[in-house]
This record gives sequence, C-alpha cells and structure tokens, in this order.
Amino acid sequence: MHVDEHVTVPLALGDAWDFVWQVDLLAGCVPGCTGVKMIEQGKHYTGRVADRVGPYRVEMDLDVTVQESTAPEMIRVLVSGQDRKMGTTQRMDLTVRLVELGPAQTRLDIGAEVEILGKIAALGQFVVKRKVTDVIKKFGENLRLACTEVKRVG
Amino acid sequence: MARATEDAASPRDDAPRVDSWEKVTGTAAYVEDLPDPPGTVYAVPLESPYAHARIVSIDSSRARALPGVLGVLDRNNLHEFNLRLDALDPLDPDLLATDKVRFQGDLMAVVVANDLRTARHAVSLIDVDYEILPPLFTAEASLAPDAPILHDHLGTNAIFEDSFAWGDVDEGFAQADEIYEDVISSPTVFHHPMEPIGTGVVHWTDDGIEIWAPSNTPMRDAAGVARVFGIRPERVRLRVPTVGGGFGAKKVTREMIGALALSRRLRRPIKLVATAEQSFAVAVRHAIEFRSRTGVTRDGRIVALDVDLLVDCGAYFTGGRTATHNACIGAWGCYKLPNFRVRAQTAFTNKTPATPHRGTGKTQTVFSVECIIDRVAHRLGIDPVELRNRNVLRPGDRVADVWTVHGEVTPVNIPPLDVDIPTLMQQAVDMLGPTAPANGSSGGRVARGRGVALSLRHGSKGETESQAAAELATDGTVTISHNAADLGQGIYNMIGIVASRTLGVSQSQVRVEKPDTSNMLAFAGASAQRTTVEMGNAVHAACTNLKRQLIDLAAETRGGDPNDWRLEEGKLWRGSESFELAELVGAGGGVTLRATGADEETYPHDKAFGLFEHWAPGVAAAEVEVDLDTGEVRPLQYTVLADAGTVLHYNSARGQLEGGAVMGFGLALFEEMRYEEGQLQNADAFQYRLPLLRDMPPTMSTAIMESGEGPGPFGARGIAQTSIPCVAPAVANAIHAAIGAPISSTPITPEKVLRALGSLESQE
Amino acid sequence: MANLRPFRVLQPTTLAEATGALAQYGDQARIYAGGAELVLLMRHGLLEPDILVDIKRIPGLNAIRTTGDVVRIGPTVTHDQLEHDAGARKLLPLLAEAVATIGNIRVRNVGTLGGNLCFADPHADPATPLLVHDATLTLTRGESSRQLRLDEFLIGTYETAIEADEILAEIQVPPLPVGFGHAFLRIERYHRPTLNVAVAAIRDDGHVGAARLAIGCVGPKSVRLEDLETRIGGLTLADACRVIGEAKPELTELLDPVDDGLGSAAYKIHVACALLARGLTQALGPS
Repeated sequence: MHVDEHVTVPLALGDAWDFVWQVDLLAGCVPGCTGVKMIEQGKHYTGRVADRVGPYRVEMDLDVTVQESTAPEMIRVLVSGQDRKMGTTQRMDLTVRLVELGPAQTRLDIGAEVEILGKIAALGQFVVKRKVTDVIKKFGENLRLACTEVKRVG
Repeated sequence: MARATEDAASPRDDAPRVDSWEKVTGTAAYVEDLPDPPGTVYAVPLESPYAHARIVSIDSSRARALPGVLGVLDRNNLHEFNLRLDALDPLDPDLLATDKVRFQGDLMAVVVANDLRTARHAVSLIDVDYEILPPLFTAEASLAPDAPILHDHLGTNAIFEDSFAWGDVDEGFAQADEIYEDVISSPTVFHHPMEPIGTGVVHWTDDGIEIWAPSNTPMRDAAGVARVFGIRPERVRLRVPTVGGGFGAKKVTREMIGALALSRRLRRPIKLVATAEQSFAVAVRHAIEFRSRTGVTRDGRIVALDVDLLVDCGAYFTGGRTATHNACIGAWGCYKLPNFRVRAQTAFTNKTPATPHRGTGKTQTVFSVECIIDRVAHRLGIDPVELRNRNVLRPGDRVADVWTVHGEVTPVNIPPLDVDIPTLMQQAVDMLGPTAPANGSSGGRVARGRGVALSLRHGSKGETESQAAAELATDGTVTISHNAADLGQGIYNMIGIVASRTLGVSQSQVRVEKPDTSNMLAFAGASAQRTTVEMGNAVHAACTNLKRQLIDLAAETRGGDPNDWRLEEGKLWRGSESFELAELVGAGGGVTLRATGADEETYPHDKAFGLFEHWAPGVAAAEVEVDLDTGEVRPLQYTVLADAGTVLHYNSARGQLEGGAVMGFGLALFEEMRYEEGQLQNADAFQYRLPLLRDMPPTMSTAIMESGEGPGPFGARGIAQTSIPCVAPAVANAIHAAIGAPISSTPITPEKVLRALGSLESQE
Repeated sequence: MANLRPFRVLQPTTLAEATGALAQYGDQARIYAGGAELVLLMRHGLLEPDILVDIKRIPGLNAIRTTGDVVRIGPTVTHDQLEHDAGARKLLPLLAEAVATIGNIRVRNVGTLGGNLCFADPHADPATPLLVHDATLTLTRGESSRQLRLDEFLIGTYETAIEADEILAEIQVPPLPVGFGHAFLRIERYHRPTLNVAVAAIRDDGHVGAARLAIGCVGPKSVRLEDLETRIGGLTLADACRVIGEAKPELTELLDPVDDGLGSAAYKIHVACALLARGLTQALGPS
C-alpha cells in the first residue's frame, strides 16, 4: 500500500538535508523506534521497534538500508523487520524528498510503499491500511518536531 | 445401446434419501469422527506463510528435540524416505518445497507427534530462513517481459496453450455489420466445501497402506500413492467415509503422503486434522480473462466470434490442462456460429494451485459468453431472449462439421444436439412470476430488471472403465460395492434406486457400500457429470448379471427353465409360486451370489470433446432489484431448468440444481480469493464471503425436463454442473437490464454496480 | 491454528478486586467479559494473556436500570439482552434496533456492550447510535471513578481513553428528546459492518427542526457530524438531502477513509451520504 504525507519544517533546505541524511536520526522518527545503531555510515543501520496496535504488541528488529540518496533533495531507505512471535513481516520503502519553500522553510514529501505480511495483516486487513496511514502521519510529525528541535537547539 | 427398459416410477413418489437421517441427526461419520485406530499419532504440516520466497535454510532440530515428537520430514531428510518423486507429475507440486515456495501454504515439512498439541507446538519450533521474493498474482503480471520466473527450469511462466476453431473468423468479420470488443473476467475462487480438505488417517502396515480420507477420485488417488511409494496399487487401500462436500477439491493431499512416509518408519496410524484455513491452500478455481471480438449482422446474427483466454493456474499446473481445454471447448456458448476461434494461454502465478471446480472452465466462459450476448443485444436494440432465439443451437443442429483442435483439423464426432434449449429458455422466462410491488422498505431509488443465461455442458467419460459389484447374501440383502464417492450428490441413494429397480427388490433390501479401493472396481471419479450415467449403468449391469445368476440358480435348484422364472417385488416367481431370495441362496449350501458389471455404453470419441456421453443443458432466468444509491443487488426471483433425461430421485435432482444455483450466487455476488498487498487476505470463512440463505432470492423455482434420451440407467443424464454456470450471467444480465450498463467481472460488488452507473466518477 | 497458551482465569466479585488484578498483573492480564473478540484473537495466537479477569461474577454488571429517563447499562449486558429488554426498547428504540443487527445470534448472545466499546474496532455498531444519544460512560479504578462522554472515550482504531487498570463500569444513555424520530442503517458484507449511520431528527413545520447524525466504520471511530447537523437545521427535507449529498469532500476530510478490501474511499463516502440522506428521511417520517 502506498501512503503519502507532507510536513513543513522551519529549516533551510541544506539544514533539513543535514538532518534527514543522518539515517539514524531519520529512523529514530519511526514511531516506537529505539536503539538505532549505525553499521555502515550512509548505508546500513539497525534498530528496534515496539508499537501497539490497540491490544496487539508488535516488536521487531529493524534493518535499515539506504537505497538511493541525492543531496540535498532525496533519500530513499528500505526499512524491514520481522516479528517472529506474531509471524508478521514488514517492509517499507520510504522516500523523503525535500522541497525548498523559503530561506528557512522546507517541505518534506514523504512517500511510503508499505507491505505487511502475516496473520495480523490478513485478519486485520480492514484496519491495517488505516494504521499504516497513522504511523506514517506520526512519522512525519516526529520528523517535523525533531527538525524543529534541531533548529531550536541550533 | 444397452439401456434399461423398466418403466420409470413416478419421480415424486420418492423415499427419503438413504443418507438423510444420519446427516440430519449428526450420526453421520465423517473422517474426523471415525474412531482412532489403536496407537494413533498426529501429523501437522508446516506451510509457507509467503507466496513467493527462496528457502535459504530450514532447521527442524528444535522440533525433533521436543518430547513427544516422533519424526519430522523436511527437505533435508526427504531423500532418506526413498520416494519415487519422479512418479509425480513434474508440473505438479513436489512432495515438499525444496528450493522455493511458490504459494502461500506450500508444504515445507510434516511433523508427527504423540498428540496434536505437541505436533502444533513442534511446527512452531521449525526455523526457516526465507528470502522473500515479489509475488505474481495475475496471469497478466506473470507474462510481462520482466516478470520473475516461478519455475526456474522452465524459463517462462507460460505453461500451456490451447486452441479450437472452425470456419474463418477473418472472413466472418469481413461480413459483419458491426464488430464489438469485450473483456470479461472471473477471479480465483475457492470451492469451500463445508468439511475441510486434508483431514484423514494414514497407516503403513505390514500388509500395505491404509488410508481413510474423503476423495472425489479414490481409485486414481490410491494409484498415485502406490506410484510414489513404488508399490503395487493393490497394496494401497483407500476407504472413503461420509464426505462433507467436494466440488473437485477432495483428494489425498501432499501432507497425507508426507505423513505416510513417516508412518512407514513408525508403523503407526497417523491422523491429520486440517483446518478451514489450510483448505484454501489445497485447491482453487482457475481465474480466466476472456477477451472477445464479436461480429454481428444488424439483424442480430452472430457471424464470427474470436476469443482469447488468459488462464491463471496458480503455482502449479494441477488441473490446468482440463480447465483450459474445457474453457476452450465451451467458449462458443450454445450458439450456431459459422466462424469461431479461441486461443488460450495458461500461466503460473503465486497462488494456490488451481484444480477442477464444479463446472471446470465452464463457470467462467458461460459468464463471459452470456454477458456478451446481452451486450450485443443492447447495442443492436434487440431483446436479449430474441437475440438468443436467432442464434441458439436447436435440436438436431450440429455444432460444426469439421474443426481445428490445437492446430489439427479433425472431423466433428459429437452427436447433433438432442436437447431443446429454446424451449427451456422460454420456460425459464415464463416461470418468472409477475414482479412483486416494491415495498419501499429501503426508502431509496431502485431499479429492477430480468436476465437469462444458457449453458450447454456435456458429460464425458473418464480414462478408465466404470465398474460395480452386486452381491446377494444369505439373508436376502443385496450389497453393492464400487468406488464412486458420494460428496453430497446422493450417489449412494442413486445406486440403491438403480439396484432396487433392476432387481425388483425394495430399496431397503439394498446396502450400498462406501468406496474401498481394495475391491479394485474401477471408476474415474466424480467429475464431468458422469457418475449417474456411468456408475448407474455399471450398477445396472452388475444387478442384471446378478439377476441372471439368481434365476439360473432357481431353475437349477427348483426346476424349470430360466425363462419360466422372474424377479418381482423382492421374490422369485415361477408361475404363481414364489420364493424368498434367502430361501434360494441359503438353499445352495450357504452360497453368496456375486456379479460384477461395467458401463457397457460406447461413447463417440471426439478430438475436442473426448469421450462424449450426453449433452447437459442448463437454463436460468433471474430478476433482481438494484439499489441505485448503494449499488446493492437484491435477487428477487430465480428459475432453474435442466434436462435430466430421466429423474431417478426427484429431491436429489432438484437438490443438485438448487445447490448448484446457491453456489452460483456465491460466485456471482460474493466470492473471490483476495491476493493483495503481497499475500492471501481472506483464507477464512469470516472474510471469504460465502452465500448465506438470506442472500438468496425469496423465490426460486426449479423445473426438470425429462426427455428420456440419456445414456444412463432408465434414460438418465447428468445434471450436476448445469445450474452453477448460469447464475452469474443471469444476474449480470438482469442488472444490465435494470441499470442500462454492463458488468465486466464477478463478484458483482455494490461498488462495481455504482461504477457501472458512473456514480463514483466525479469523486476520482 | 495456534495452540492456546495456558492461562489462568480470575473471577473477582467486586470491581475493586478486578481493577486491583489489572494493576497487579499489568500487560499480562486482560478483562474477559463475553470474549467475543478476545477468544478469537487468542485462538489465532495474536493475543496471549497469562491472566483473564472474568468480570461476569461481579453482581450488577449485567443489569439494565433506569434512573429517571436515563437508561444505565452494565458493561456485561449482552447485545441480545439489550435488544430484548422492555425498558431499553421503550426508551431507546434506536439503540435496541441497532444492537439487533450485530454479527449473528451467537455473537449477540455472548458479546457485551462494554466489551464492544472497549475493544474499539472501527467496524462495530453500538457506538454510532450511542453517539446520537449523547451517551456517557463511567470508568472505575479501585474505589474511584470518572465520567466521560462517549466521544471523549473513543480515540481511534482499537484505542480508547481507558487506562490499563480501569474498568468500564457503566454506560449511561439518555433517551432522544420527545418527538424525535430515528433511523439506523448499515451495510455489511463480511460479518462486520462496512458502514453504519444513526440519525435522530424532528420536524418543524415541514422543515428539519433539529437533527443528530452519526457515522461509523468509515473513519477510525464513530463520530457525530455536528457541522452538518447545524447546516441542515431549518432546511426542507429535499434541501437537507442535497446538502448532505454535497458534503462528500468535507466528510472525506473529516473521516479520512482508506481504500481497502471493503471498497474504495470514494465508494464509502458516496454510500455514507446516501444512507445519511435516507436515514434523515426515515427519521423525519411521513410528511
């Protein structure tokens, strides 16, 4: 499923890119994501995500690989993980494009191609799409807040 | 032609079916109800959760180490079991997935343990590392130039081609006043018998293999098992208990064969208990896309029909040849076409392997053809019933004189039509009562419409003989043995009726056994509407032979000439003297008389149609109400007609027609297997939408013509598949009439109706 | 199917005991009322609680009482009970009609109103008519409790305002104002509703006097459409239906429907407007 989200951050294009390019910080904005470690800078990272979908707990080890990046405009990462206990496999092909709106304003266009496999996806199929949409929305919001925090701390 | 000549009893005087009481009271013993043989242990399979993936590694050591686990079969130890895997059709699934999994549910391993709970837990301990690959869920996607290849060694996902033609379509189009193009599709659906698929008991004993399992083709399944294990077919005994529905899906599964391999080592009976969800991974119906060009004259004669079929057979080719070929030989509907051509391409996808499904290849093509006829009618401004009258085949018509089958020009060896479709069609329409007044309960805008659909199926003989045995015991009961599984059609009852009428005994004196392959009585299996005809004839022959033996015995022991004797009302008569059967048989020193018989009918062989038994027409008319604001379709009335030749048991025949129609409503309005977002989304009864009683039209009328011309006992024909293909097109045509717009695919959802109305466009 | 993992069942006899167990066991414990949703998820291995806190032994929780005009429904009242309760049918015919459509007869005899509201599945029925009734809820923890409006309680997909150690103790449902007609309409294809609407409305001299509109299943939770209610007040029925039909963009914005197996977002909004208009027509009754 494809989900789009747009957020605006009070940063110049270059500053916004500086944040986004740090994939460990970017990955950290995924709701419930913790312990992001760099394996190879600019290429490969790992982390852990723990989230609730109502009564369900989802816990996964995440693998984050950078597929493409074009400074300062676009970065594409593949985030995948598996919750063996629940039999859930998740794959997200995430692209963030940066569009300069002004000297201190950049829009981040987030495009996510998400695949969720497993029983929870089949049984909950009529709410999975909505939940994924919520997660991407929250990701966007987290990203905006984190960027704003950067600006504030400066 | 050998055929029974006794007068047909009134079809409405029927006794209840022999299996009704036990089914209604819950005493019927399905395979899961059978008492466990002593020492029974349990097998549970590990099935792939992914539609397409490379198996990087599989490690069953934790499973093996669990207390209570007796054995695990996976790709790592498969070679130890000496299975003749080359005996499996190379285009069908291997026993286990070894390098790749190609559909969700593909078998990975089998665990055997002392109890079911331990076995299930052990399965969860098998560690598999998969490399997920992108799945292909449509034939179109799998034939695209850059599509991943599902069976690497084949180098392509295109697995089979077929074609069928007569006349010259290009010539025909040149003569046409109008040429129309249409694309109509039918999705993958699941047979969904009420009893899950894959439950059974298997046991490797010192004498051979014993299997208790539901199967629509017991002799073929037993022979297949024998080949895999490299033993003689006589050493495999498959017994079929009461079956809870089949529709083409019931068979000995790969999981059962895996369990048998383990049973060979353990020498224990092993029980498998399938879940409803696992059943979705055993058998489904082929999805077919039907693209056509229809050339017509302005006065409504079809002068050319050119069809391209794209057939989706799932991950393996099981049943693909039959489905594709059946679709080809049915793609012309029941019309007299001067020029016709169909070309079919079958392709693999990452879905459950497709198999025969009630009306194999027909439910999809009848839907398409009958919708096209109505589209043509609407476009030309001709009434759809009238358009059919102008083109339909009539009694005595030949379909064609010569045709080209898969590139080979051959004479047409099927008989001219001996059924009267136009009359059936008129009757179907007439049987629709007047439209009930709209009661305004929904408070919204509605439109009503009526539609018809015609289906011309045929019965065909399988690749083996059909045999039965009749035995008269010393107490006077007659026992019939055979291998024709009753999947709910009323076969055992039919056999009892044929036996009782042939022998002149009451049906209560006849015992019909369930299939047991140790009797070695051949039968190609419940399929192709052949069972009543072929098994009925075999039972009739066996009973006729038994009768002869009995009369000879009577003449021998009581005197007189065999011609003086007759069998009537359950007794033997000579003049006015009568004897109980038991007297005669007991008198012969405890002799039991046994006779066998086979279906001795000869059927013409045709290159396209195979061994052709009889025409089997089906006709339906529907009236529906469409809610124009929500798109919901409410069936109001439905009529079902067929020609049974002779009805042997009225309620059974009617049940077949109405049951087929109910199944057809499922296909028309609700059913599809939803492969989306990388996986099968609805492998459960909760989300795989089956037809409910409340979805049925409040009025369903059935009429069964008896033209008496069938090749079966007492003039019977098969009718099992005549009603199911007509529902979707009759409903679609009724909707077309109601809203003025055609429907292009099943299931006909409310959203599709709203889109056809153009109601959703402005929001796009 | 997965094996059910072993679990313990506690059967407290007071609410304080029950919430105490929740506080003690935290994530390991779940409330067990009808189990209509819970047991299904457990059998699929998607939920594996160690402790089930069975609240069906707590006296009074399955009672339907009336104080003045307000109907007070205990959390373990089943849908079937509510459907057939004389008091509920008389005072809350909209709600009684709505719960009669839930699932099937087996679900209605086992599933509870409290369980349904706390599970907060977007595709559920009771919340929609309850919003039209301006229902309120009591949440209890230990000896203390708090009141919430239903619209405050419902947060999102499987999400409510209930805390981990709280129990829904009662649902209070005032009747519709005198003279209001009602309608409950729904679409179902897969044993749960695809869409439902609840409408209550009263005529005022041939026009829409006042209306209450609620819609469920299309968004993450059931909601009242207050803006639309205000805009149709005072209009003729025909005009009100027209305004409803033109509200597709705003409803899309408010509900944020998704394309999924039940249909496209466009389909859901289209049918939503159709049913709202139809519901309004039914609620206002014959002119």
